Amino acid sequence: MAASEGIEDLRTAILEMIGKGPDQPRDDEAFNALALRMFAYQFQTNEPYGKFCERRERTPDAVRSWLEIPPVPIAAFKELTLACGPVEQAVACFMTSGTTNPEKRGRHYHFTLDVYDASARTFFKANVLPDVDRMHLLVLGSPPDLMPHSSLSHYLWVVCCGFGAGGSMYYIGKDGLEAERLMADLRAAEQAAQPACVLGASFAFVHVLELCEQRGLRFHLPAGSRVMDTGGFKGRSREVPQEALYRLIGEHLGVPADRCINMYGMTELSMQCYDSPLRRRSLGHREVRAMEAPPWARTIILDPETLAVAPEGERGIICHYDLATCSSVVGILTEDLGVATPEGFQFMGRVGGAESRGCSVSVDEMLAATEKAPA
Amino acid sequence: MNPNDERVSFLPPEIQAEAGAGRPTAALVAEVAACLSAAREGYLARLPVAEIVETLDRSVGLWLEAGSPWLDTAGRRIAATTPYSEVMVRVGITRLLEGCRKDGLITLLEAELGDPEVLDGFRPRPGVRGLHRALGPALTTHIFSGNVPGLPAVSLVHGLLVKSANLGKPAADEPIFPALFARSIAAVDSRLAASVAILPWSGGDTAVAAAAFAASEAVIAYGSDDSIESVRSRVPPGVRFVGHGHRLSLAVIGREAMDPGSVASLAERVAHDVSLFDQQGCVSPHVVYVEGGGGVPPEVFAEELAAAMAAFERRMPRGRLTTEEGAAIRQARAEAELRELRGDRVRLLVSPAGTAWTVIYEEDAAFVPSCLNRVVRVKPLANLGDLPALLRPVSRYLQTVGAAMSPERRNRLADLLAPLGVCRVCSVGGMPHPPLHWHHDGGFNLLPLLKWTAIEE
Repeated sequence: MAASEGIEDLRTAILEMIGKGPDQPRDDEAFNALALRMFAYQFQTNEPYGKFCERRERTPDAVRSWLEIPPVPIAAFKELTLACGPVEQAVACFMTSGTTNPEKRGRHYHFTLDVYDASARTFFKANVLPDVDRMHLLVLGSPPDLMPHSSLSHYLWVVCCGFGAGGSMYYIGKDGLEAERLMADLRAAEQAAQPACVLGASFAFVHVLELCEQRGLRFHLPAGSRVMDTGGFKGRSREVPQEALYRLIGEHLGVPADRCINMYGMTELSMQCYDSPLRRRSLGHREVRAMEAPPWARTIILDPETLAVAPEGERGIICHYDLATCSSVVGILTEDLGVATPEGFQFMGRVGGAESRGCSVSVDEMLAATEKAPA
Repeated sequence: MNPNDERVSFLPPEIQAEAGAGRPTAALVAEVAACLSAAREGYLARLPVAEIVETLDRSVGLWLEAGSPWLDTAGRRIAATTPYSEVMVRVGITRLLEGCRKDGLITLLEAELGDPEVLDGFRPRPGVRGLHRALGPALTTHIFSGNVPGLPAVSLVHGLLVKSANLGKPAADEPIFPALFARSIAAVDSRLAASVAILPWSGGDTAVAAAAFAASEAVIAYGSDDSIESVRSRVPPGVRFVGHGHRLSLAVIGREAMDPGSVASLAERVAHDVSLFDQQGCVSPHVVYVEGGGGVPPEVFAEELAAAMAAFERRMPRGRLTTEEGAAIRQARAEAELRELRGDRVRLLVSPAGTAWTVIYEEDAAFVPSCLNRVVRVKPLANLGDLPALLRPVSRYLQTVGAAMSPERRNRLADLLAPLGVCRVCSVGGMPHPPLHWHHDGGFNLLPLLKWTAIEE
């Protein structure tokens, strides 16, 4: 087997692809070619991943299509070091929250953040700010110095630097939500001539909306304002279905549901998917809620029984191939369920909802029972 | 009465016409309960228990005769509505009903009551002065689960043996068997079957459930802990309640059973216990502990088990899974594979395609519940004496332990595990087939339903 090319060339190639923008034609041939180059590099430089592929007899010599590149279950980021280089040289290590087991957090090492940042900026702009260059951003998140291992924190920092107008601020400090400052700034934003964008984790929105409810506060952000929320709730607030969340946002922030954007990102990836009515309107697409991956990534849904691509409309495991993730693995198998639609895909919750049909106990039911029991 | 009647309800003749369509109401349930009670008073309550045994034996016999149309219908229709394959449904029902023949019924009665005729009238009891009589509930409501096809028969048999009228609510995911079984009783004795009604209602329909519970003197429920708790909370005070919720089972192989000459047949029996009902039964093993130092290393046993799981799958294919269930298996496999890659002492043995069966050999001895559907862990065990500590974290769920070892060591093992709540130690290969008289979840089957009256002399 020929030695694979170096990371520099690959970075140049992916930056070039990202540089063609969010609306470039979905060139499957170019995607496939670069995916195979990445795979050859990662197979050779990421030792545990190489072994993982060899067990499946999927080596660069044997793989002809990106669909044959073995995706790594995200649990691997907890068990193994999946990096294409010495981790001491990493400039960032993003870690999963470890909600189920704080001892075991998934780690994604980055040796440069140039690709991550370009990927984040390009698709954020297309989905959240397709109509303006900068906006007043109210960030329901923490700055990276408080959460150096959070990919969400870094992402919010990147978009804040890239697109925040004067007055853009973070509202989660080391002591949690800075509610008074946020309420005051929301009131001020209401009076401003320019629209604003409130963005952050979905569970943070739930806290803010509960606060508004308790205090009987309603804000009417200026026309053109928008909201971007991301991520699950993971036990940090009560679970709120998306529709209900957007209804509450409409009531308390004055931002209608058709200006609410949902972002889907993962620590293990270097791209984000969006469900953005704003982008659909700007492209003249029909208005159906769906997640869209950027042109340098593909999201597929796998039938758990066969691990083949599930037909459109059928539920399965969400699997991402992200060419911006050049220094670990391009293909990851998530623990999320979803369904492919003509417009993209829909997220349908986490795997783990499996229940026994009768009196046996499945792992999850037992975990749930243990959690319920008093400590 | 014929096995081709496709209705999932079985109602007293005077009610059937009007209950044809629509959701059952509380008023309908009250009316059904009144009919059942009247039928019981007029017939079942006066029938000697020996005759009830005869009738039940003949009804069960209808299912077990060669070419039984009852079994054919059940196999075909249950396989069409549940994830299970037809052959598994047939085998499961057959094995279960074989235990409900006359000898099994009499053993159950004698094991729990001594003299079954205490159900017919006042009788002397050995060692106790006076005369004693046991009365079953006028009406028992049964909430069935759908995980083990045929299981509702056992609950109905309990009710009928104590001369109770029975109102059964079939599980939403397996509504076929209960009405079919009731019809097979009617085929033998329609007056006795008039004390049985099967009526599906939605689990969320609290008004209907309340009407059923209010008319009952006992409620028996099968299902998840959550559904048991939700039923229990709605049973009025004074109504006897028996709940069979979540349970976990396991197998233990002693070193003396690890004989190279017989390990393949031992593995076959374990594969049977794991695979039947796709591990959905409370009696299905999640983990197989294999004691080291025998003639076959535990890891080799895992390979034998994998081969036996494959053979079982060819004979009785696993049922269809939901996306969640399939994804959970993929996740369990991925987790094992990654630990293997990391260098942990783990081996992942899986069906060549799909998710049909999974054997995970791992040296970490901690008890790990399975994600079900034929996913089993094999773990080496230094000594049987290590088991109590390993099982203590899950002791509130423990139920059946399949043991392959010498009788002496099996008895010692039972001594160790009884305090942890294990209610049954049986042979490997027999785990899914408890006898009718077993201590289901540690209790008796008929006694909790009975009220006693004594005449003191």
